[in-house]
Amino acid sequence: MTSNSVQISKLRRFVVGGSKPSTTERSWYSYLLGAAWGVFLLVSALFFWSIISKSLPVWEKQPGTILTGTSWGGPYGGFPMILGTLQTSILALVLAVGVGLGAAISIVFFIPARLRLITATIVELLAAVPSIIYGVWGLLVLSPWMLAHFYPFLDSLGLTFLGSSAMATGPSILLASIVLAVMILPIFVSITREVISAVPQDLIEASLSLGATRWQVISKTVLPTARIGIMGAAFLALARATGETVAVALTIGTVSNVQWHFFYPGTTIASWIASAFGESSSVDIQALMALGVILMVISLGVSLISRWFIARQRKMLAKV
Amino acid sequence: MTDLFNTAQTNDALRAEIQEIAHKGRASRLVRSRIIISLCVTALVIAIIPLAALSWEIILKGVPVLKVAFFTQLPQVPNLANPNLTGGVSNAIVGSIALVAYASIMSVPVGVLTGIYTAENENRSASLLRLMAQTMAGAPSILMGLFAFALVCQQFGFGYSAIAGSFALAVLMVPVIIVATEIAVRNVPQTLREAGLALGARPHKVSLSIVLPTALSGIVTGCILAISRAVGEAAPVLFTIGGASLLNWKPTDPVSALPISIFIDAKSQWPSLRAIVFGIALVLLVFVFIASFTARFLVGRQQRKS
Repeated sequence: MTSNSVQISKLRRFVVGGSKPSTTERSWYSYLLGAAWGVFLLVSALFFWSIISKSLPVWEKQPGTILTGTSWGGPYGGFPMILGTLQTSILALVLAVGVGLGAAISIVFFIPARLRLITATIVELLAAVPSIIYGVWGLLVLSPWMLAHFYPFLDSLGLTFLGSSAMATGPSILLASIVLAVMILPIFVSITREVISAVPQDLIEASLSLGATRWQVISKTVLPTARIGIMGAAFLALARATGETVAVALTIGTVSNVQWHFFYPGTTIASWIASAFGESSSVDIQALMALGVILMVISLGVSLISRWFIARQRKMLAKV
Repeated sequence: MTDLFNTAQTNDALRAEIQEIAHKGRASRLVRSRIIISLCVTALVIAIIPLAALSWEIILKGVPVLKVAFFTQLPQVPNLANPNLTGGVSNAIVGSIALVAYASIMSVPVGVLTGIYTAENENRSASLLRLMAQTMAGAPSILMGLFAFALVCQQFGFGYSAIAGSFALAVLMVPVIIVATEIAVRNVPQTLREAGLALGARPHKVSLSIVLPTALSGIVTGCILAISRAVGEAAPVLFTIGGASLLNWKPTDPVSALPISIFIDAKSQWPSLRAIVFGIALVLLVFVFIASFTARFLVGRQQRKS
């Protein structure tokens, strides 16, 4: 017995360096972790508090106007910005989902395994490109091309509700939406790809054995099973689109009136904050902070919905 | 169809008829399947075109701009007599390096430690933190700019300064680092921890000498991704760093940054300044791609090891 306990205390000295172990002692390390926890929560709380508190005067004075007013000069109407945010991000989402769903399906099912890794890498690289670069590309490369070819083409299709190509100047809601769609595409594709690959192989094989074609397997088995996760991916992409700033600020033209024609310049909440901040008085900044609160509500709401969808998909697949 | 079952018809005729029905449907189903498959592959090609177009355009127009002067000189404003007088972007390069360095000093310790905390504790405070980290990771980056402006520029009285911009970037980086660290620490096999504890090592010793070294490459990957995101972000620093046409780097000085130079020069009336933009974009793109490949390499090496 004694030799054993000597052995153990030798081992212990070797491991913990001689000091007596105690299970109740709180080490410096756990205090350090606790401190980091506190710092992060403090900063997060300050984040919400400082933006909201700076905007309080606006919410007290004119809570209705900031939401529905149509002119920024004077009473600070935020409706054009809110409308523009919805227009650009929803159009971008429609474009990105249309292309992205097909792309994700073909990455998982239709292309050879050798190409799969390369395309997945390319999609991830696209996600890593800074948004300002998409903005520059949209403004200096895409915009002249669209002005010369794309607007007249849409005009020739008779889509007059978009506006007239002769009066377009380049920056427009349509251009910003296309740039946004290119930006959110990689996010949507990479999450959709994960969700689709997680569909159990048994289900796919079962429907193949019943004689279904490859498209029938996808439309009748894979997509219904992955539906909720794909919704989650779409909402995550939407959240990114609503908050995007510089790429939109460069390509939308930032004009603060209500704009229904997509060939003409408009504005969004984030791009308006970015371009109006420089020349703002302290009262203007209160109104911009109020716009920031609106943006916070929209984008955090959308990303909350997306997280809920993705969690539900996980739970559902765990059951299958 | 009822006479199919009449004895008058032979089995062979029956089989032939069924096969015919099946084939009729099968042909049209196959055609539809193939059409939709080709549409899907077309969608994939369309999705990849932007990267090709973007890289092509930026390399083509960016490479001629990258001269020694681009990296070493201060920016100059073109005028009518000298429309090609653009100088370089050394101020933005120095400013970006300073901003990211300060932001890393602030965010890496907090992010890594909080990530370890959430991974190793399964209580209410850990899940509160996880919720906060996910919320902050989803918040638009322009709000970080508003936050830093309100808190650091105004409340703390630093005005437009590198410290305000790097604070905004740090707020952006911390959630990324927390999430990456948490995943990396969680992936450390439980048996390693138990082996350490069985030898009598205290929890903090196990965490520092066993868990951290094993999770290190995952944590480093997270930090690299956070840094590469911070370098390219313009929105958080747009109205916090003030901009400077000198080689400023001190925390309290106003500084410039590469994405801000792009943002301002892209809207310039001078074609020579708009040309410079592609050079800056190329520098950013190369940096981000290198960071991305390093991160993938580290992840791949870790996966091979375990």
